[in-house]
Amino acid sequence: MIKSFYKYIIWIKMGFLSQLNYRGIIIDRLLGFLFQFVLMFFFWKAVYIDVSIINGRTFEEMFVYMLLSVSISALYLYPTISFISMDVKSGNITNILLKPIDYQLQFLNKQFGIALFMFIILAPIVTLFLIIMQTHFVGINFAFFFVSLFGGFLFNAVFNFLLGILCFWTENSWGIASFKIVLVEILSGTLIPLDFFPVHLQAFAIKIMPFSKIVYYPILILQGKLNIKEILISYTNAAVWIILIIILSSYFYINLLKV
Amino acid sequence: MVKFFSLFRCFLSMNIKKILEYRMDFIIGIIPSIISSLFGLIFISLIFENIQSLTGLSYYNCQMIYGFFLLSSSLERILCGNFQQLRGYIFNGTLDLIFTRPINLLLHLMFLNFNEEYFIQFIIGIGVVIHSVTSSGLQLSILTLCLIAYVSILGALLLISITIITSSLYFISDGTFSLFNAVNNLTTYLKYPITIFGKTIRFFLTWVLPLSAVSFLPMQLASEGFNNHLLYIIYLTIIIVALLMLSVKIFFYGAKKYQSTGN
Repeated sequence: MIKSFYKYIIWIKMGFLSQLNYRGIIIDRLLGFLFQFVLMFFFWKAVYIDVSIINGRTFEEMFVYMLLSVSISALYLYPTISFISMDVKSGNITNILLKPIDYQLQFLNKQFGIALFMFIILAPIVTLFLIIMQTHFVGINFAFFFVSLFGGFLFNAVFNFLLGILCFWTENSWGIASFKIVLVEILSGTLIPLDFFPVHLQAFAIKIMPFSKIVYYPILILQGKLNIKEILISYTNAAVWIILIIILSSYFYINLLKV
Repeated sequence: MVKFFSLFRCFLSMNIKKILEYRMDFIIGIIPSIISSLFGLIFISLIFENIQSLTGLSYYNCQMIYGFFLLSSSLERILCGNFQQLRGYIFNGTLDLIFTRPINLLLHLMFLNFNEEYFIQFIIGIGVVIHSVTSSGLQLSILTLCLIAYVSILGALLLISITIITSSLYFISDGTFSLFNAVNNLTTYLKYPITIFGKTIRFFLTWVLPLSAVSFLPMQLASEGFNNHLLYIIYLTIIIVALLMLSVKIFFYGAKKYQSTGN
């Protein structure tokens, strides 16, 4: 069993190492994040100049939210949908299917490796900003946060797999990938916390749609803004969506193989 | 100049044929651009539900700044959108093929693919500016409108210069290093007023690298008139034209230093 698990762990390593190829690109991305965090600080400082609390958040809490939202969404920035599209169009998928590994698990593990890499390179910068902002988090919230973060990652990963499979029936993956990025950025709370949305949209965006579990809920959990009941409901919601997407993607994957 | 336009016409017709061939992709591709551009407006209105002004600027001022940002940045992306894919062109050998053709390298890269989503963004930008100007009750003279258009074009030229310089780094590093991401994240914040920044950054964005021409100055021209800004517009013209010429020189210097990756 360990051996069969090990063949997927290798894909985590491959996803991780694929990001190390070009150190210049890593420096560029790190500088990009640094500039973004600094400019974000000025923007929200200006917004809070005449008010002390907006939607229950002080300036420090808002800045920490935006810092974490940009960092978490960066874990999923890599255009992994194109992996499947390229495999299918190049015919490489036939080589993959001959191997004794499950394609979906391989894809998920590779994404995990890429996300792990981004996590490791972003963690020092984010930690530095959190120290500068003198942010304190309650210890147990870290545990709930990482569970929620993993749930968000898993949903994003299976959703990417579903979209990658659907790309087979369009000419290329770029349009679907762009659409997914915009949709997730808005509905996950990356660009602005979801509680800024009009009240009649909040229930839909926050409680029903799964994208809020990628960014919004993990940050709220870490900032201690949810009680245990709300945390467990968010876990259940994420699990239901993950199972639903896995069923859908399996259905389309089987149809793809028949073609 | 005649060669420029005939080249432009050839590439444009090629790209239009590509759009007509892959219509579904075109439609799927422009929808995210429309949503993303409109969400920028929604973001500003969500912020202004909680505040009265942003560094003394009203909601319509901020909307105007966002509209002007869309105009200049989409103009820049229409012409220089392909430069972000220069890394891909280097790795798959397309750049080597481009070098063998008897066409100006810079123009060839500009016209290779037209990113149609930026045309849509440009139209949305015009719509946002018109809406914000009419909503704030401003009446602009023909001269003010011409100056606003001129400054927006200067802003676009400045963004083009910056893109050309950052893409030149790909030539020297054989596609392994650039500052695209970093510069992109910097220029994205031009959709907000530069008054949100500290004095040092504001000075830098006004006099050293005058990115205020992209969005802030056109808003000031629309709101306050042009009387106090004429000298500054002359200064902008000199600086931006000089920067554009420098960026082209750096680009061709980088192209000479380019060593193929062997494709």
